[in-house]
Order: sequence, then C-alpha cells, then structure tokens
Amino acid sequence: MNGNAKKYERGDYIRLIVVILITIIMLFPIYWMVMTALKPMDEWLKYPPVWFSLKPTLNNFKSLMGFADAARSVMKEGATNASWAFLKGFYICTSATILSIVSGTLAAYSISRYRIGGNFLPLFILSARMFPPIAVALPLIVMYSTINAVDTYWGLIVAYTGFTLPFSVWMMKSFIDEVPRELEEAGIMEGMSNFQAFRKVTIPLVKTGIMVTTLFIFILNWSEFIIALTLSCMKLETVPVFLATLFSSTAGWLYGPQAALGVLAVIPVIIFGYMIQEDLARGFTFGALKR
Amino acid sequence: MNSAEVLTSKLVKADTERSLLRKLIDKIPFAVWLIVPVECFLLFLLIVPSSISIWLSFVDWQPTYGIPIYKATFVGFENFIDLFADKRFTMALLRTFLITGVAVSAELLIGLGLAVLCDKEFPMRKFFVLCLLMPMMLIPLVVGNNFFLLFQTTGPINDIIGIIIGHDFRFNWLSSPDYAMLPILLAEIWHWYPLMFLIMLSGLRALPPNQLRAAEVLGSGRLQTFFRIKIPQLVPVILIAIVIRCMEVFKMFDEVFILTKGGPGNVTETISVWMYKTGLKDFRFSYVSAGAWIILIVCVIIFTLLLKPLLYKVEKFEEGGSAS
Amino acid sequence: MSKVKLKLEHLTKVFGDLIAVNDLCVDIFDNEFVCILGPSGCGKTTTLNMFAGLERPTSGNIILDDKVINKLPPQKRDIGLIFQDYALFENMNVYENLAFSMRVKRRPRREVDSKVREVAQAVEVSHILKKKYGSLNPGEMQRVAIGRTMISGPSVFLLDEPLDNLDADMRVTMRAELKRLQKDLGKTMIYVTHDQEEAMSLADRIMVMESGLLQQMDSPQEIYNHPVNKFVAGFIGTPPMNFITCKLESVNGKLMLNSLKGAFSMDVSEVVRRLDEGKLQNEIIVGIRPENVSVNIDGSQSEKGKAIVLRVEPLGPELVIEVALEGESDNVIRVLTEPGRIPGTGAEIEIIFRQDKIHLIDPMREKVLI
Repeated sequence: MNGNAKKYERGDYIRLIVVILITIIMLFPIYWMVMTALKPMDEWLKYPPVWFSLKPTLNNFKSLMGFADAARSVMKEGATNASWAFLKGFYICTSATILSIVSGTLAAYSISRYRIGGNFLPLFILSARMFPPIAVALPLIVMYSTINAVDTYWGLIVAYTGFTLPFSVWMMKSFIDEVPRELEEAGIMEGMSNFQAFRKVTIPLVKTGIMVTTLFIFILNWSEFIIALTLSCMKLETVPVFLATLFSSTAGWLYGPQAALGVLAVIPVIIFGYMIQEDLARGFTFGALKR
Repeated sequence: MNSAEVLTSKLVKADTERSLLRKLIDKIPFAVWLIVPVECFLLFLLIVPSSISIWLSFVDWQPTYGIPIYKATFVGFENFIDLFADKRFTMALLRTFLITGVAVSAELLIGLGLAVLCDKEFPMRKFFVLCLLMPMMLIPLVVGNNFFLLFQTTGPINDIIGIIIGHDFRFNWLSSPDYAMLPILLAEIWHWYPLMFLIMLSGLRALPPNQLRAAEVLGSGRLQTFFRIKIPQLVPVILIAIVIRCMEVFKMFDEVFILTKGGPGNVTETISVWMYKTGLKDFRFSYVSAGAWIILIVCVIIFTLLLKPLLYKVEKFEEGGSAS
Repeated sequence: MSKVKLKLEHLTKVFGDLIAVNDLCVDIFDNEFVCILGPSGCGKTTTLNMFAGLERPTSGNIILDDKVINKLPPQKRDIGLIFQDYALFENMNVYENLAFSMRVKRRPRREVDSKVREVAQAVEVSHILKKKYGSLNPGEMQRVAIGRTMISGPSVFLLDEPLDNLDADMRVTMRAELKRLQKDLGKTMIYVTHDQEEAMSLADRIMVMESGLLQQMDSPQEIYNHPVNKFVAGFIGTPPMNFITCKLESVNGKLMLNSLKGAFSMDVSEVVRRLDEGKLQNEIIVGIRPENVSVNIDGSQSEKGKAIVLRVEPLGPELVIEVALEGESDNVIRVLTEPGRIPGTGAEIEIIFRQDKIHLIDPMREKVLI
C-alpha cells in the first residue's frame, strides 16, 4: 500500500552522522598538516597551539622552492633545493617503476601461464619483501662500494626496482590470471608466436592492472627513505630524504616548510589513488578478492 | 667463380652459426626467457647480498677496520651468542612483535568496523569513503612529521586532553619512556587502517547478494547473517590482509625514527631502527648481519607454527567454497 | 473448490517512468502449481519479488491466507524463495545449508538434526550431507535449495527460473522431479519462467504476462486452445501459430476470408455466424497453428490455397514445411505434418486450414473465436 521505498531511511542518516564524526577525527592530522604549512614560523610551536591561523602565509611553500641557503649550511656539497630533489626523485622513481613493471609483468606472465618455478619461485619472490630493508642495505653497501655504484643513478634505480619487484610480480599475476588462456591460444592458432600472443592479446586486456600496479609501485618507490639514505651520501637525494634534512641550526626543524613539502608531495598521489580505488584492493590482496 | 664459392661457403657458415644460436634460443622455453630479468634482479639484490650477509655473520668486520671484507677474521658463532645475550637486541625484537600484533589487530578492527558502517548506501557515501582512505596515500615520512607535531608538548593533542580534563596538560609524549610508544603506534595505525578498510569494504561488496537475500528470507536477522555468512566468506581475504600487514609493520622504521629516533634511550627501538643504529651509526656490520639472520629464523618459525595451519585452513575453505 | 491461498489485488509496481507491473488481479488456490510465464522484461520477476517481500508494491495488495502482507518483511511471510542460481551458502556444506533456517531460530540441536535428516530424505540428499558446496552438481544443488526452503516450512514456494542454467536433459528430469515434489508436499508453488514448454508441462495454471500486464490466466490446455489475444496465441506453442492478414468480404452470399492478394480464400460463413455482427471488421488476422494446416503435395485442386514451398525441416516424427502463399512472399506459413513425401523447395502445394481450429483476431489484439 505504500509508495516506492524512500531512498534513504532513518538508519541511513544515523550512519551518515557517525561517519561524519569519524571522518573528522581521522582527517584531523591532515588538517593539522595543511594548517602548519600555512602558518608563519612563530606559530609552529606556539602554546597554546594555534588551531586556525589568523595570519596564513604561503612563505613555507615559497621557501621550498629557493631553499639554497638553509640547505647549503647542512649539506656538504651539491646543495639542492626542493625542486631539484623532486626532479631527481622523479627520474629515479620513474625509471625504477618502469623497470619493475616490465620485468614484473614478464615474470608474472610466466608464472601465471607456465607455472614456472612451481610453488617455490613465486613465494621466494614474495619473501624478498619480508626482509627489513636495512638487512639488505648493509651488504648492499658493501657490494656497491666494491663495484663503485654507491653514488650513481643506476645503483639507486636497480635497488628501487628490486624492492618493488615482489609487488610487481604478484599484482600483475593476479591480473593476468583473470584473462582466460583461451584468448592467447586463439592468437597462437592464428599464427602469432608466444611473445606476440602475449604482447597483442594479453597486454591490452590487463591495461588497467598495469596502471594500478604502476601507480602503486611508484608510490612505494617514492617513499623509500632508507635506501636513499644509505646509498646516496647526500648527493643524490629524493624528496623524503630532503625532508629529513630540512634542518637548520638556527630554527631547529623547519616544520613549516616540511609540512608544505608534505602537502605538495602528496597531492598527485591522492589524485591518482582515488581513481583506482577498487583495483588497489584487489592488487593488495593478490587477487584473493573475487571481483 | 672462386669468389662465388667463397661467398657461398661463408653464407653457409653464417647460416649454421645462426641456426646454432637459434637452436639455443629455441631450446630454452619461452617461459624461462620471461623470468630472466626478474631472476637477474633477484640474483643481484637478494642472493648476492644474502651470501655476503652470511659471510659477514660469521666474521668480525666493520667498514672502519679498513681491510677488504674477504680478509676478515673468522669468529664462528660469536656474533650470534653475543646477540642472544644482548638485552637491547632481544627487547627490540620482542617489542617489534608486540607492536606488530597490536597495530595489525587495531587496523583490522577499525577497518572492519568502518567497512560495515559503509556497506550500506547513505548520502554522500562515496565522498566519505574517499576521505577515510586518505591517510594511506601519504608517505611514511610525512605521517611521521605530522604526528611529531601533533604530540608535541605544545601540540593540539595535549590541548584537547587539557580541555577534557579541565586543566593544563603539558606532557612530553615523545620523551616519555613509558608512553613514547603510543604516538608511534597511533601513527602506524592511522596511516594504514584505510588499507584494511578498503579490503574489507571491497570484500563485503563482493559478497554474492542472492545468498544474503536467501538468508534474509530464511529468517536470519542482520547480525546473524553477518556472523554466519559474511564473516566466514571474508576469512580468506582477512587472513591475507593480516599476513601482508604483519610483514610490513614488522619492518617499521620511518615513523619510529622521526618521532623518537628509538628513544628515549632505546626504549622505542624497533628491530629496523636497531639495525640502522647499530649498523650505520656504530658500523657493526657483522653484528647486524648476524642479527638479521636470527630475525629471519625467528620469523620463519613463527610463520610455520602460527600461520601455516591457518593458511591451510583457508585452502580447504576455498576448495569447499568456490564453485569452479 | 479449493480455498484461495494467495490473492493479488490491483498490484502495481512503478520504477520511475517504467510501469513494471500493471494492475495485477489474480487468485491463486491452495496446492496449486502456478507458472508465471512471459518474455524478458514482462514483469514476472518483479511480481515474484513482491510476493517474496524483496520489493514493495507501489499500490495494490498482496493477500496471503486472508492477511494483507504488503508490509511484512520476507522472513515474516509464510513463503520460501528459491533463486535462479540457488544461492546456496558457499561457506557451508549440505547439512549446514539445510539446517540454517532452524539454527537461525536457535532450535535445539537434536531437533535440528532429526528435521534435517527427515528433509534430506525427502529431497534425496541424505547421501551427500557432508559434501561441500564446491563439489555439488546442479541437480544436487537444486535439491538442496528446495530442501533448505522446505525446512523453514512455508506454505508457498516461490521459484525464480530455477532450471534456467541446466542443460536440456537435466531440465527435463528436474522438471519431473519438481512436479512430483510439489504433489507430494501439497504446497502451493509459484514458478517464474520464460520457457513456455516448461510452463505447459509443469503448471496447473499459467499466468501469462507481457509488459507488466496479465494477458491470460488459465490451464495450459485452455491457453493453448483458446488464447485470449494475439500475444498469448503467438507465444504459446512450438512451432508458433501462423498469422495471416485477411479481408472479410461478402461473395455470393458467403462470407469469405481472402488474403490480401487473393492467394488464399476460405469460406467462413458458418464460423462467423456465432459472432456478434459488431465485432467484425474488414480486416481480420487469421491465426492457425501449424499442426492444423494440412497439405496436398500434388498441388492444388482449386484456385485457393496455392503455396510455394520455401523450406522443409524433417524432424523425425514430424515434418515442418515453410511455405509462402503464391504471390505473397510476405505471408509465410509453417505447417506441421506427419512425415511422408517430402516436397522439393519451390514446388507448389496446396494448404488447407482446419475450419474449426481457426482463430480470428481483431487487429487491435482481441481474439474472437476459436
């Protein structure tokens, strides 16, 4: 006798309220970061803490861009400012990501279709992720110094690639698993070689998977603090390292610019992350979630 | 005529050579070619360093000694024995396990709770879900800095507490031997609960709706359906999420380092921080390598004892569960 | 006269602009096996969902055992619902699936056990009680689904195209089983399908729906022999009924039906007499089932009924001949006869309609006579 069910019942509004409250709590640290990025220096550590700055400023952002002086006083040589660190970091991360994706996809295809390495190899690849980076970093330093790779671009790129390989392989494997083999077999029957079948049939079908994985690995690379710290001797930095060195003897930690840098470094990640939400979950659980 | 013969024989030779190479290429299956790049990386970045690490564990060597590594003196199990007696090391190891347990459990509960909350459609649900996912998108370093600021003596946390309890509250969280762990834990949980949330939510949304409707028609209330059907069907996903998170939390470094540097003293040292300090500040490479191997063995033991039976159960469940 | 178990009063469901179910008025009797039959999108599943309580009607009433149940949630209605994919609980074995409805009501274990075994016996799944979901075949799944619903003891069973994903022989077997089960159980069953053969073989009565409207509700035989309108006439029966547009003319005092170009002609004076004068129009659609058309392979003896053979399909016990009326290639008629001499394609044969099996249809979708 009633009309169409209303779109939202009362219970739904209660949910909404609860979620709003929780969101406020959860987003509070982010709010604080953004606030700090906009605060002038005297407000950073003021007591009582400044909840909402009445004199917001963009100085922190500006100083990031031309940070030569403060940086120089701390670093030995090749002083940098934030944009230089960004560029270097971008170059290294991109190269490492591409390398990781390419080799990872190839391996994933092999594991998925040919079950290469049986049960051992895939788990072995995954286990690479279990080592605390430090544990591998120490011998790595020894290795690198022996072959003189310590300060090089390629040394960093190789290291970054290696550390994201397990994810690359496993995530792509789960995406490739979803493509039915029959499609490739059909391609082979039409005269394609194995590799062509792979390139022309499989790859286009896992394009989203590739994008998701690429993004994920790029995020991982972008945050690998330790590797850069150990291997680069302050010359070849990336953003995270740069953040840590934003230390000026006069002002203690430069929280404002640090926060500003955090805000900047995070925006592209957030944007892309939103776009691939669902696939992230699948990739993260290595396909345990059926679609 | 002669040059033609020479040419022909040259061509034939080249052809045979090429076909040899081709035979070689063909002999190795396509599959193996595919994993060559990954194998190279693994070799270079895993096998070789691991071998070096093993060597290091059994010798006494530091980069400050000035001698090449293969000339170091062999000391047998001395490093390992010292480590067992080293309070700092064992405490760090225990502490790391404890943190892992607490953090992952908290992330799981929060993630599950939020997922259940967001499982039904409500106004602007998509927007709020995206908001709740934000912490995961930040770099660990940034998270660390954030919480550093939040938990300052003059920071907002103290301010809030002060408002609640009525008078000024100026507590130095990060220098407190008893409570310094809290900001670290909170930072980690805050950073990664969205992953659990996302996984649980996706899992809930992927549940076959007809089964849930069938349950409803058969008389099952919301709570009953949740515990009898939803959770059991989410178990494999939950388990994998737990395993993955445990692996990552165990290695926690950035947040600890920024917030307390392991301090005050060594009270908040996780195993990663210990390795960093001992290895890169004190330069005791051999000691740390031995430590790394102990950690690995302990983890493998725990994995085999605790998780293997669980994962085995998941496999059996999957057999019964999938219709394929 | 059995009592009315389920009654629909002006049941309507609207989704935005779409009227999915339009003013349905139906009585369903106790112990009846009713099939809701119709093409995709006709509203049958929506109707079923409203029976079940998964959808709320926009207006109208659903009355079960003299109680209006519109506002009741599914579990409070006295119904059992079996989904197209059976929706067995994937994390449970057969026993647990069966036991679910009782466990949910927190019945004591012993009671649950005896009831489960009893029902397992009835649907013949006793030997597979421990089997896990993944290893069941479709036949077993269907029985478990029915058993699971049975245990909760409803008086009305609702089934949503449960045989749709089975292959042909399985379907036939399962159909028989379902029918037998319904008779044994003595419950009312409402079964949604788009397969008219299925409906014909299973139902006590068929509810034919199209575009949200009830077209006809009758026993299979009635629907077959006396379809109410063109849709029902054309939907039921394989091969489907033939339709020819004709003009009704008076010739020599007799009323003749002539196809548009005159290739077919038939004296219908007898037949028409039984009709209201007012109902006749100039244009009439003639409907005749393929089995009611006979052929004369040696060609026609008169001017009317000449047809050219287009196609012949020997089906073993039957022969289907597709012909076109001479000069009217649009009018294709299919004929169902016993096998005999097979005419060649292009041959000219004569077709004769059985007078008493003709249906005259008003082009405005009304049916007039048998």
